[in-house]
Amino acid sequence: MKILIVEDEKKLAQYLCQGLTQEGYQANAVHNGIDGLHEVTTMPYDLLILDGNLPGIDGMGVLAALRQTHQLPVLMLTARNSVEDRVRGLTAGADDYLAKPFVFSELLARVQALLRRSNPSRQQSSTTEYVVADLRLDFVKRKAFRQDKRLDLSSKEFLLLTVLMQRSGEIISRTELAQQVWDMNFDSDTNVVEVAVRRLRLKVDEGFESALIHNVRGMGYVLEPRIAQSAKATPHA
Amino acid sequence: MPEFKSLSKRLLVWQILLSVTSLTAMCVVVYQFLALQLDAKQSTVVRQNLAIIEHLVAEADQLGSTAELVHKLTDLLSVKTDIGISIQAAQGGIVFNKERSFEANSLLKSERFDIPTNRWGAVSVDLSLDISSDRKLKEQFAWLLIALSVLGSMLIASAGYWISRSGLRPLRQLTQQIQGLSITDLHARLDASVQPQEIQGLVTQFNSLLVRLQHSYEQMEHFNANVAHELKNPIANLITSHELALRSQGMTETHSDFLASNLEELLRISGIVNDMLFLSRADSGILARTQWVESIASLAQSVADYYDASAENADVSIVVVGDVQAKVDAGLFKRALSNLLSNAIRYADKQSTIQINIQKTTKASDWASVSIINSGTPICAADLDKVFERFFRSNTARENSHNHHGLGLAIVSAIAKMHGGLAYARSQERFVEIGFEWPSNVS
Repeated sequence: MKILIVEDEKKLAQYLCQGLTQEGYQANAVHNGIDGLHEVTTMPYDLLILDGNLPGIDGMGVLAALRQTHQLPVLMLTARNSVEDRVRGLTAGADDYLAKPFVFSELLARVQALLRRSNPSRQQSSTTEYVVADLRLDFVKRKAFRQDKRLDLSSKEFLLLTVLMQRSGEIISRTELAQQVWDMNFDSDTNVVEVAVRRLRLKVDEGFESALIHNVRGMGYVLEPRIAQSAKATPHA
Repeated sequence: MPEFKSLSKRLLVWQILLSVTSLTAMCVVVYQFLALQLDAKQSTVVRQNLAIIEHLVAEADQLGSTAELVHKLTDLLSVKTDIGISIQAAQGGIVFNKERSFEANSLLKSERFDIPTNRWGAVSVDLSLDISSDRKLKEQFAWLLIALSVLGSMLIASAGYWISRSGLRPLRQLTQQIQGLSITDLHARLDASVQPQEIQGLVTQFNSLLVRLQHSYEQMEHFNANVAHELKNPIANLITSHELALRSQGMTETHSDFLASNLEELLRISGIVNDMLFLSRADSGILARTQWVESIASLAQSVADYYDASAENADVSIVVVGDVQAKVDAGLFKRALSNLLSNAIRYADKQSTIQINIQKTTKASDWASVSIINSGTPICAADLDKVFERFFRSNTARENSHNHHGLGLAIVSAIAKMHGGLAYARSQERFVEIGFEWPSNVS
């Protein structure tokens, strides 16, 4: 999967390249609109990450020119966060939008979602259940089991567990959980997510030998089986 | 001169004083003039009569006939009823005595003259004149003048009252205009066109002050927005680099703890920067994109659901009371409610119930209000208006300031304004109610 990053903040572009490469993508960065447009129209990319404020042609201009010939998914980045800008970006043909400053895990989640959407073949088969280690979730019957013991979850807890299991192994930020589970699309009091996850952990992990839900400090939560507590996860949420 | 607070009273008192003094002075002068005229007339009458008497005495002196003199004098007195005459010769013996028996208390002006004669030597004449009618005239005239000056003063006073009131009306209108200026509307100006020339200068000056105020406020706003804007890229860089470092393997626990702690602080800064940008956009007058929402209560319930775990953790419960239909920007509305609820949970008494109250307001027919009522430490009256100020924290709030940067309620107030409404805070005994009201059919 090849991703092009058009971002004039060289440091940020470099970090994004580095991060996406670590996640197994082929990432390449250019620093102005003209180079960006040239690169993306001449090389086969799967996704474009485009900054709104660019020297040369600005993000909107690049997007408008690109959309005349190419349909690859575009994720817009911008320092502005107003509804107007967002609407402008989306009507100009951006597939998603992320306001700076963002957290990397959120960018990663959006990149993955966009790539999944544009390559339906890669989409996970229409399973009705997720399994991680001895945790099993059946989202048609809306039931979850651990070691065949039924977990008593509220509807929001079930949704929270679904999101964590769907993307098992990925770190999901508190902001994203607030968006996905409670539809709170703004910087809300993310303490709330912390409390909710702690409550979910009591039901999922309490009394079992190995914990599945882990707090990654400063970044969010991840659901994955771990043999021993790794260095970057702390035992409490 | 007493100091009056009221300008119109001061003007009125001065006007009355001035009119009374000038009218009195005028009357005194007129009266004095009349008195002098009467005096002169009396002197003339005395002189004329004296001339007649002199003539008669000289005639009698030539003829040597006293009887003739007496006869003529008697004739004279029969015509002139207002004088009395007594003539005495130097050698003794009264030649003529007709001291008229004037009415009692009648006032007399008497003169004594000496007329030299051959026959009787020096003859002294006593001439008395009755001036009581003149006195009476003067008296009546004086009363008339007093009456006129009192009446005149009253007339001037009432006219003066009316003039000063109508003259000061523009000033009252100006005061009303200034009172009508809202502290929240920076664009409002006074209307100079309706004011008289004298006040127009003041109005223009006042307006230019308002312009300066607006400019400096906007400058500050732009500065805030620019600072926040400029911080976004470096913060994005820092957050991403920290995240990448934490994702990479092979870091000691000390290092990763250190980076994670930095990352937490960076996310906090990022939150503040975002909130500041939100506020400056709201201040620039951007309005919410509202849509008709059938049930505000269900919107509120979704926010309450979000806080479910956190409320349980704080040992409080949340109930939604009432419902209205209204036009709102659902995202902004939830954000405002979320801030209010987060605030309420933080300060609510343990085992109490937090009430989300949704209703039509009494303010205007189509206004709706949503407020959150919790029992807990009351907010003192002086702080009630300040809770919506940026970074305002009451003393009790400092204790857990780490997680909250004090922009939450400022954002609630901004969102209320974006809906054309306003936020309010009330506190009584152990109840605190914070919320906002807005026109439910806001466009």
